Amino acid sequence: VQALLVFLLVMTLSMVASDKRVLEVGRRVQLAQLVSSGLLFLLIGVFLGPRLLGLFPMEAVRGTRPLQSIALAVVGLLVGLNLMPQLLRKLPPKLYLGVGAQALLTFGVVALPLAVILTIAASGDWGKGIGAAVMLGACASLSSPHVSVLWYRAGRIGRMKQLSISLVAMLDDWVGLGVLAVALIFGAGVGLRLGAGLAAMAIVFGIACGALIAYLLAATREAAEVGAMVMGSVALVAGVSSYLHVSTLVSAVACGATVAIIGGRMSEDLFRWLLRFERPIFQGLMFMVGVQVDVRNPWVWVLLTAFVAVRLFGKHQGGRVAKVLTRGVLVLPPRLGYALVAQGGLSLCIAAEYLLLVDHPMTQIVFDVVALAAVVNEALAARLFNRAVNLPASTQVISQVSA
Amino acid sequence: VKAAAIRLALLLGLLALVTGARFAREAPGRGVAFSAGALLLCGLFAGKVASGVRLPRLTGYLLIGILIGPYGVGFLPAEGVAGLGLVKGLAVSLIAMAAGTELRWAVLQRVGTRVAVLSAGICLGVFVVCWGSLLLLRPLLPFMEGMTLTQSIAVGALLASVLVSFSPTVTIAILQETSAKGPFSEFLMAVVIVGDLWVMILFAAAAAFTKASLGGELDLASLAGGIGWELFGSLGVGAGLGILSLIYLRRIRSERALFLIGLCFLMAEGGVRLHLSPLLLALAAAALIANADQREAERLNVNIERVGLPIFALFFAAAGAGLHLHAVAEVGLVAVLLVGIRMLAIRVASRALSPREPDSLRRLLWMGLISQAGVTFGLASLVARNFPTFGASAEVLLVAVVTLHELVGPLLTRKALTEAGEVDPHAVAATGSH
Repeated sequence: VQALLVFLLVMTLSMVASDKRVLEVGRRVQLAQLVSSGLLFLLIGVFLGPRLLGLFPMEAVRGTRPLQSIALAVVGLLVGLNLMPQLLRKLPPKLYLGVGAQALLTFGVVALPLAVILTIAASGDWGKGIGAAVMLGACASLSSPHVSVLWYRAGRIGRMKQLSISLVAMLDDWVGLGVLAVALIFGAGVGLRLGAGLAAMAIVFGIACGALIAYLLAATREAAEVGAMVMGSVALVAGVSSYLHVSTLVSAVACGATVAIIGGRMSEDLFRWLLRFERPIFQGLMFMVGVQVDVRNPWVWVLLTAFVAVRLFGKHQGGRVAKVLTRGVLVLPPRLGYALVAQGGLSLCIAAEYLLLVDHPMTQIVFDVVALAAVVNEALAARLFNRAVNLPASTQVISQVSA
Repeated sequence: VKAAAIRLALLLGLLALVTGARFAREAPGRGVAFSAGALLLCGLFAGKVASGVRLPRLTGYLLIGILIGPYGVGFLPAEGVAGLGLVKGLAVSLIAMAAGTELRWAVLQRVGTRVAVLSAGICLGVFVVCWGSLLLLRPLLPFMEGMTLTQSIAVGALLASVLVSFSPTVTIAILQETSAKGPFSEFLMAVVIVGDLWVMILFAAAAAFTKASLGGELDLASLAGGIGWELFGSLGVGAGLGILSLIYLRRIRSERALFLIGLCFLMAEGGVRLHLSPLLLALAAAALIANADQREAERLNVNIERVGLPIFALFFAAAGAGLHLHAVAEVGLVAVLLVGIRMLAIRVASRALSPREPDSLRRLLWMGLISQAGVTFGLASLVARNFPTFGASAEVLLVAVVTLHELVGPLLTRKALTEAGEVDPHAVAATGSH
C-alpha cells in the first residue's frame, strides 16, 4: 500500500507539476526551478511525512525501503554509465588537478571543523563523528551542472563556458562518491576493517553484476525484452546490495562503470532505457527522502546554517584554485565557486544511502542537514550563478526555460 | 537454447555467490528487491529455455521459481518472495485487463448464455464429484477426524468448492504467449472467467454453511449481501473506473503506460480492501473501454503488451518460488488422488455439456480447465484464516493440489490450443528464437 501511495502521489504530482499552465502560475514561487531540480517532491515529502502532517507514517516510510534502494540503483547506474573511459583519457591532467583541488578543498573546509563538533556530539565515538563529518564534506563537495545548462539554453552564457562549468560539476561527483565509500568505511561497520570489507564487497558485487548484465544484454534484441532485462538488472543490483546490507549507490556505480567499460553499445542501450524512467524515479526518491527529514530538531537548523556558510566559502575558495589550475584548458567564469552552489540530487542520494546503512542518531542529523541544505542551496544557486558569470540578478531564466 | 541456458547458469552462479556472502552478514536485509531482480532475470532466461524445448514459457518461469525459491535450493529468502505480493496483485489486474479488452458486446451476445450455462454445469458437476470423493476419502484426511457427519459434509463442500476453481491468469497468459485466436480460445477464456464467478458463489455459500455446522450462525442475508457486493459491486466499480480511464486516455493522453500501472495497482490493492474482486474490477474496466472506444482499447492492449513481459515473468516465477513442495510430500497420495478425480470430472463434464460446434470444444476444452493458481491459493488461505480448527491442515492439502495443477495445467492448455489449430505459429517461433 505504501508503495502504491508513493507511486500514485508522485505520478499525479509529476503530471500536474509538468503542466505549462501550472508552471506559469507558479512562477512567483519559483515552482519551475523546484520542479526541474526535483526538490518540490522533497518539500512535499517533508510536509506529508511523519514529523509534520503525519499523513505518511513511519511504518510506511520503512515499507518503501525496497523502492528507495531501486531508485538509488538507477541513479548509481546512470552515474557509472556516464563514465566514458575513452573521453576521460583524452582530458588533460590539469583538468583533473583543478577539479580535484576544488572538490577536496570544499570537502576539507566543511569536514575538518565539523569533525571536531560532531565527534563531541557523538559522545566521543570518533568513528561515527568522523564518518558523519566526512559525509557532510562529501555532500558539500558535490555540485550540479543543471543551472549552467538552463542558462545556456536561455542564451545567457556561451557553449564553451557552459561545458566548462558542467565538466567541473560532473567530475566532482566522483570525488563525492569516493568520499562516500570512505565515510561508510568509518561509519557502517563495527570496525575499520569490517567497514573496508563491506565497501570492497559492494564494489566486487557491483562489478560482478555489471559484467553479467553486459553479457545478458548482449544477447537481447527485442525492445520489450531489453526493457524487461533492464528492470531486472536494476532490481538485481539494488537487491544484492540491500540484501547484503552494503552500499547500493557504490555497488550500482561500480556496476554501471563495468557495463560502460566492457559493454560497448550495450551500455548506450542501457543508458537510454534508464533515462526513460529517470525522471519519475528521481522524483519518487526525492519524495521518500523528504518524508524522512526531521525538521523539528533545533540542532539541525544550527548545523544547517554552518554547513551552508562553510560550503559557500569552500566552493568560493575551491573555485579560485580550480580556475588557476585549469587556466588555458577550460573557459571558466570569474567567480567559478558561485556557479557551483547548486548541490544536486547525488548529494541527497548519498545522504539517503548513509541513513539506510549507518544506524546512529548522528546519521539522522547529517541526513536532515544535507536534505535541507539542498533546498537552501538551490534557492541561492540562481542568484549566485548570475554573480558568477557577471550577469544582472534575475531568476526568470529558469522559469522561462523550464516552461 | 544453449546460449540462454549458459546465461541462466551464470545468473544462478551469481545467486549462489550472494547466498554465500549472506551468511557472512549478521543482519541481512529482507531481500524483496533481490528476489524481484533474481526472479525476473532468471524467469526471462528460463522462459527462453522452456520455449526452446517446446514447453510454455510460463512453465519455465514456474520451474525456475521453484528451483531458486525458499522451498528449492533456497537462493531467495522466504521473506523476500512474500514481499512481492504487490507484483502479484498488479499482474492479476493486468492479465484481467488484457482479457477484458477482448470482451466485446458482440462476443458476449454470441456466446454469453452458452458460456454461462456450460460453466455452471461443469462447476456443478466437478463440485459434486469432488465433494463425494472428499467424503469417501475421510479416513485419509486427519483434519476430518472427530467431525460429525454434518460437519464433514459441510467441510467437504467447502473444500470441493475450492477444488472446482480454475485459473484465469494462467489461461490468459498462455493465450497471450501463443497469440491464439479463434472460437475455441474465445470460449475457453470465457468459461474460465465465468466459471470462477460460479466458484465465488459456491465458496461463499459453503463457507457460511461450514461456519453454521461448527456452531456459528447462518446469516443468509449477509451471505447474499457479501456475494452480491463482490460480484455486482466489482462490476459497478470496475465500470466506473473504466469511464474515468477513458476520460484520462482521451483527454490527458500522456504517460499511458504509467497510468496503466497505477490503475492496476489501485484495482489490486483497493479491491482487496473493499472486499471487491480485483479480477472482476479489471475485467469490467477494460471491457467498458473496449466497447466504448475500439481505438483506445487497441492502444491499451499495446501498452499491456509493453509492460506485460516483465510483470508476467516475475509473477509466475514468484508463484513458482511460493509453491510449497513440502506440502506435496506431506499429503502426496490424497493430493494426487484428488488431482486425478478432478481431472476426470472436468473431462466428463465438459465432454457431456460442451456445444457440438466447434468440434474442438468437446475434445479439448477439459485440458484448458485443469490449471489452478492464484485464485485457488487465495481461497485456500481464506479457509486457513476463517476456520482455525481444521483450516491449516486443509490448506496444506489444497496447496499440494494447486501445486500439481500449476505444473501440469499450462502444458495441457497449450496442447489444447495447438490441437485446436488456433496457435499463431509465428508467435511460437518468435518466442522460441529469442
